[in-house]
Amino acid sequence: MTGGWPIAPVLAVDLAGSAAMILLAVCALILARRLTRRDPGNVVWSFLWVLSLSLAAFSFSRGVGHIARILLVGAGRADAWQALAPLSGSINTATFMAIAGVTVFYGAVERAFLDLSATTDALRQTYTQLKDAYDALAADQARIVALERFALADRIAASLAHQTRNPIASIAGFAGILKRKCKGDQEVCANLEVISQEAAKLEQLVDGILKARHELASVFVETAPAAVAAALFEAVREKAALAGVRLWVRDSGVSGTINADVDGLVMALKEIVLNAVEVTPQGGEVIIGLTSEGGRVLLTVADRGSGIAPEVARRIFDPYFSTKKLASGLGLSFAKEIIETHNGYVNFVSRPGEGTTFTVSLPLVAPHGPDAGAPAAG
Amino acid sequence: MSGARRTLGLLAGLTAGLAAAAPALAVQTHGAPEGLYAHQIGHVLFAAALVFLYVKITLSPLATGRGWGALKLSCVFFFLWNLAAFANHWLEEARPGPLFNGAGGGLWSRSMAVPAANADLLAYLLSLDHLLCVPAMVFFVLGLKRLAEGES
Repeated sequence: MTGGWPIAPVLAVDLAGSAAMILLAVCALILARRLTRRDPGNVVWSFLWVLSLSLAAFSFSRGVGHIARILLVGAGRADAWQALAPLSGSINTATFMAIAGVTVFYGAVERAFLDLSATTDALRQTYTQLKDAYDALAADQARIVALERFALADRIAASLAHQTRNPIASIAGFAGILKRKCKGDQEVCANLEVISQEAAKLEQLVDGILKARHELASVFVETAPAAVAAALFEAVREKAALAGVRLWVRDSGVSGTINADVDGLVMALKEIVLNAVEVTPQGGEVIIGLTSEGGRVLLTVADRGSGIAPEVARRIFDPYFSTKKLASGLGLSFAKEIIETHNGYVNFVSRPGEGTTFTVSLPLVAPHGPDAGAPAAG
Repeated sequence: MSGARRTLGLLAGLTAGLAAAAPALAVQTHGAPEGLYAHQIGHVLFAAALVFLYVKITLSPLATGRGWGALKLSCVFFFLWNLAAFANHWLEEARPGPLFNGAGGGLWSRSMAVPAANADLLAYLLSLDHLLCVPAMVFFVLGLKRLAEGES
């Protein structure tokens, strides 16, 4: 061995470095492949994959060339290395060109990625808009179908009302005539009384339908609020009893009268009370209250049911809205309409789990005559 | 028939022309220094591409985070390696004989004679170029690893 700087460290670094480059190139390929597999549509990952391939080709060609050179020359086969060297060097040069070409391509990759991202965002936004429009169309279509169904039901109900009104009047009339002739037979008289009462209820129902359709004029008369409350109590008493719900009327002693089409108003209030009865558990109670305030009478219907959820509360007076199966959703809407024809209004307070109180406010008839406003004697 | 005759005539003329032609140097030969030039141009392009990628990553709104930072470091080390390799090839061509000599010994027993010219000392150091390209590859792998671990 001659004196001077030895070749051994250079060869050792060359051998170890070449092996390390090959090993690292394999790691880079595995990691870049993992990136592209995780998100195959990502062009940046695709770029890194191609760059890794180029660097791997460079590392393999250079590493194998250097190792082969050291081994062949070290084994005294310099001639073999001389034959191999041009091929190894050419491949190495070609990989430089490949790396340069791939790297310069990054600018185009980035632009493509940004364009693709912008297009994807726009497409996503358009999709959301289309979906919203589709949902709105579907909702409108469902509403149209429901409206057509109710219009048909409405026409059928009106047709039935028209066709049954006269037969019911005849039944009621003939039952009255027979009642006057059955003085000796108590049982027959009692049965005829039942016929008369049921016919009267049917007449009320038919009139209610026709009034709701404005095909029959409402008949407004001055009435005591207590009389309306009493009629209401009678109208729902039987159904409340069947449901096992106690029904109370608490009249705080309202004086004065209201202008009301009693049959129509009772039908409207009946919808509110029956709803209260339906949500009250067996053994519970529904209280019909009667008070006055500022020239108006306040009729309240309070239950201790489950209450009304906020999302339902917003739509409770909407026509055709109901949380019950097989319900028309017209009851409360109809009640509100009838109450408003009496210059009244209806609102409610509800706490989920604690119950609901509906309040119907109706104007009291202004006192008239010479003694109007005079303090009561005694 | 006249078309076939015309084609045969053309082919005969072409064959005669080619047989009588003198060398026109239409195919370029690739002599010894061309390989070195191509290799050095490769180093220049490789280095320039790394500068381009470094600048692009620095300016890119997409390439943020430690993963891309490692890729930038990889660019720096590969760039330095290209400079070192380019310079070493140049020095090698300029040297009249080999850098390492051994009097009949094996490859591993060769050495560089001292005292040596500054260019030879520099060539010795530049021969350890794996000390630049291995870290470059390590940073490249680290960058990919961080990106694969979910970094943006």
